Order: sequence, then C-alpha cells, then structure tokens
Amino acid sequence: MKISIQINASPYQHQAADTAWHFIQAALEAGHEVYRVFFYHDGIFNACRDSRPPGDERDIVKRWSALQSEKGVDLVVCVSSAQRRGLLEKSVAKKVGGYIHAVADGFRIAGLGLLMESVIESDRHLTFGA
Amino acid sequence: MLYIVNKKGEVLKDCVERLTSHDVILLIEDAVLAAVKTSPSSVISTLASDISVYALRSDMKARGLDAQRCYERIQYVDYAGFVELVENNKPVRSCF
Amino acid sequence: MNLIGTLPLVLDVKTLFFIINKGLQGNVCGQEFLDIILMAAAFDQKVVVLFEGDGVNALLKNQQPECLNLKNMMPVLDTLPVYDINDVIVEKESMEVYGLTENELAIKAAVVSRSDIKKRLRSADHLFGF
Repeated sequence: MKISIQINASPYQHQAADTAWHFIQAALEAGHEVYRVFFYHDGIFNACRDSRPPGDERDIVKRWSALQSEKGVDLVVCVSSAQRRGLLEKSVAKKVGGYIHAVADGFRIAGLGLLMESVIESDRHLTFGA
Repeated sequence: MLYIVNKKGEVLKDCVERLTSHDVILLIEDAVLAAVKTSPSSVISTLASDISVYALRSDMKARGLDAQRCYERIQYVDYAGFVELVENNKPVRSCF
Repeated sequence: MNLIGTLPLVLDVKTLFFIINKGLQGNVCGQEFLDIILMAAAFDQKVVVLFEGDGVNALLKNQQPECLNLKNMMPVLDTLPVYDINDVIVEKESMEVYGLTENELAIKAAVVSRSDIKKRLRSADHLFGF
C-alpha cells in the first residue's frame, strides 16, 4: 500500500518523530511505499539544519536526511509553518533576508498542496502528533 | 476502524467513549501505561470484548512494562505488526 | 526546488474528515488546521468538518481573541460555504456536555448523534486531527 505520513510535533520534546521514523522503517521493510512525509506545525523543526544533539544521542534530523538519501523518501516541510517559525528555505531566505542554510539536506519546502496530493494518492494517511 | 492513541487521560477517554463493535485500538508512546492493571482499574478494562486492544511492544519495553502486569485482553505488536494493523483497518484515526 | 512542486493533472476524490476536538485559540495549530481544510476543498475533495468534545466550543458566538492579539477564526469558519464546504457537523453528545443548543452556534452546522457520526466515519478515506 501507499502510505502518507504527517508529523505535527517537534523532535526530542515529543516521541512523535521517533514513532513515525520507526513506523516508516517497518513499512518500507514490509515492501510498502511511503509516498511522502509532510512536516507541519512544530514538526518543521525536524528539518532544522543546525540541530546538534550530544554525540551519544540519536540525531533525528540526520536520520531523516538519511531516509531521503538512502531510501528516496520525499520529505516536505510546509512553507507557511516554516516561515512562521523562522525556518527558511534558501530561495525564501534570499527574498526576505533570512539565514540561508536553515533547512537540512534532503528536505524540500513546499505548500499544503503537496500534503493534499500525498493524501489523495495514498491508501492510508497517518498523523503523528504531540 | 483503527484508533492510535499516544497518551492517557482525556485523549484516551475521548477515544474510548467513541469505540464501537469491531474497532481496534493501538496504545503507543505514553498510552501503553493504560495496558497495565491498576487500582482503580484503567478505562481499558471497561471496553466491550469485541474491541481489540493492542499495545506497541517497544514502547512497553522502553518503559520497563511487561505483559504479566497488564490486562489479559491486551495483544502485543512490534512495528511490523503496527504496519499490519494500519494495512488491515480503514480509516485510521490518530488521537494525540 | 520550487514552492509548488509538480502535481498530476487528475486526482481522485476522497472523503476526508477533519475533526476539531479542541479549541481554536491559544496556539496556531487550529488556524493551521483550518488551512488544510481549505486546501482540501481547493482540491475538490469531499470534505466533512466535525466538531466534537471540547471542540464544540470553537463554535461559540462572541469569541474575542483580539483582546489577546490572537487571530479570530470565525471569519474563516464563516467562509466555509464559499469553498463549497457545507458538510459541517457537531456531535450531539458533546453539545449536551456543555449545555449548548443549536441556536447558540455561530455557524450553520448539523447536530448529529455520536452513533450516526461513527457510521459516517467508517466510510471515510482519511481522518485528520490536530
């Protein structure tokens, strides 16, 4: 089946991003397609390039980036959630004069239309929240 | 219909009040505590027998909870089982 | 990377339930949730908006969030019919918990029993909450 994932909570403060990541690993292992992971509300902080957890802890942001580079899973950060919270993608940052490297590798910034497309194209849509 | 619940309290209560025959509920994250036998009893013990109750094994293990302390009706799944529950039930409601 | 992404020309029509079970004030999540609802309508999906639990209070008249510099969501709720979102339902049992009657609601909504709502939910493709 095709699965669409939405993450609504920031990493570390809530288990949502961990649960979602483990679920996605198991879904891929079982041969399912993860159509897209959409980061919404405070979930956008999962894409925070400058996150630097202590060396003996899981690196949630890097783990997402690896999911994209190794498994090709589409990671999309909501542009309006991100702009409101100060996480700007390069082209947006250039336009408004923000910090240019805010978004980690493997994530792309786009609008809610991509959430909707993901939902429509998928057999299941799962939301992980706080 | 599958309900995925991640915490006890109001969130679990609101979910339980809306469960009907043949629904499936999966306890994840802090909600796995609801699987444990308590005094007074947890809201889980009040559910009709035609409702299936699952708990996510790794969330139990992470919190040092074992099946012996839980209600007999609880079934346990790992993440592969979580994926199967999602595949076998539609729609899915995430309660958080 | 562009902001909109590439969308297929023809998308299915799915039945999407948007469940509001908490207040729309206090944080931005309610406001961002309404954005998803409007986007679903823009994609010509079959949209149902359901108020239940504490969420029934989101329909009270005379909300004045402006006194806290918070955004008033009522203009958005008033706009739902403009987006062809006419399937707005409120759970009867939750109305009773708060002693609310239909004429106390700020927008036109159908009061439906919990068991009838459940029947409708079972036929939905995807459910959204926040």
